Amino acid sequence: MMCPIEIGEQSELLAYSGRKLELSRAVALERHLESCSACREFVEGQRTVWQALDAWQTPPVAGDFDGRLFRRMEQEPAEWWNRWLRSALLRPGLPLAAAACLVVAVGLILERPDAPPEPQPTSQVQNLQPEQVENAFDDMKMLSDFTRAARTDAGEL
Amino acid sequence: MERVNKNMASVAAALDCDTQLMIRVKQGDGASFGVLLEKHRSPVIHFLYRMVQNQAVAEELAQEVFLRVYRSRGTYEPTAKFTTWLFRIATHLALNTLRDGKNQRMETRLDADVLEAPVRQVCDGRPSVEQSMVREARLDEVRRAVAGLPDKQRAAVLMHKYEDMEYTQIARVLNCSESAVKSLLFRAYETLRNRLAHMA
Ligand SMILES: [Zn+2]
Repeated sequence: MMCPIEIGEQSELLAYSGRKLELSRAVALERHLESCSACREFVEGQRTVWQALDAWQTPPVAGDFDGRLFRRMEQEPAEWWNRWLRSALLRPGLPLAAAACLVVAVGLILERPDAPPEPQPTSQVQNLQPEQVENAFDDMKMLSDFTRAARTDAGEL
Repeated sequence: MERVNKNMASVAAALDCDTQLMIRVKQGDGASFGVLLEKHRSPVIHFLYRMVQNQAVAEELAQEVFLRVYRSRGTYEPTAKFTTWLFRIATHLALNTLRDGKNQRMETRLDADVLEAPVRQVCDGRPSVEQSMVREARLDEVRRAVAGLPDKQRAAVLMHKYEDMEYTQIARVLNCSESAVKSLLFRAYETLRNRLAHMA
């Protein structure tokens, strides 16, 4: 096999050192490693990097993260389900499993073809802040950029 | 051919469970938003924490990420994987924060309690003082090495290493070509190999 470093295929070495290379290619690369010190050094160095990164744990997420988020969502133009979600999921003493069952059950009910029509969202603009307007434009731009980029990608494949 | 590829991309997006949930959010299903939040809360916060290295700022940014998802539900179109879109918003916010230096405002690192944790004795099988100090010094070195990477390289490494994303998905998140992502990753990992070589 050609030396991955010489032909600029370090991705092969990255995948191998992360144990993600498919078996037949890994076997071929292992044969190459026996005679190539540069690739061996790459693999050993990369495994050290990944071990070091594996040891980097993150702090726990604050317990009131969802509560804060739902409070902020409540300040957005109101929708019925936002209030429902908050009241259903943030009820004190509601066990997590029960909350998860509730979410699944409501999802199933909403899926039923004979379910009553959902209430239409109402629009409340009186509480709109300048920052919200700015963010909305930012979001719209990012979403339209993203849609365009995704379509271009699909066309380029 | 182009039409076939577009159709394939649409089919792939349609098969993505998160995309299905987001379509239901768009239709007014609040429970689906709760499921998406439960599933992606931790990955998004952890990614942002490793980007800005400040837990309070990371959580604040994550709030903004999910708020933007919520706000954009009406205009959401399933043109790509939901996680690509989610991490695109998260990366955009993190890069803006780093550019503006907002992550420096809170000088107290919330994970400082790890560094200042009470010292344990070796007799009960837990790490000794020396072992804890060595471990913390190594972790600090890892954090500094990652923080020293240019912002886009750091984002690429974090998505590749911790989110297990393919080059194509990282390229879509960072809005660049796949070859540009490979180049970002190779340079970033080369820097990290050089900086962390002595940890072997
Ligand atoms: Zn070689």
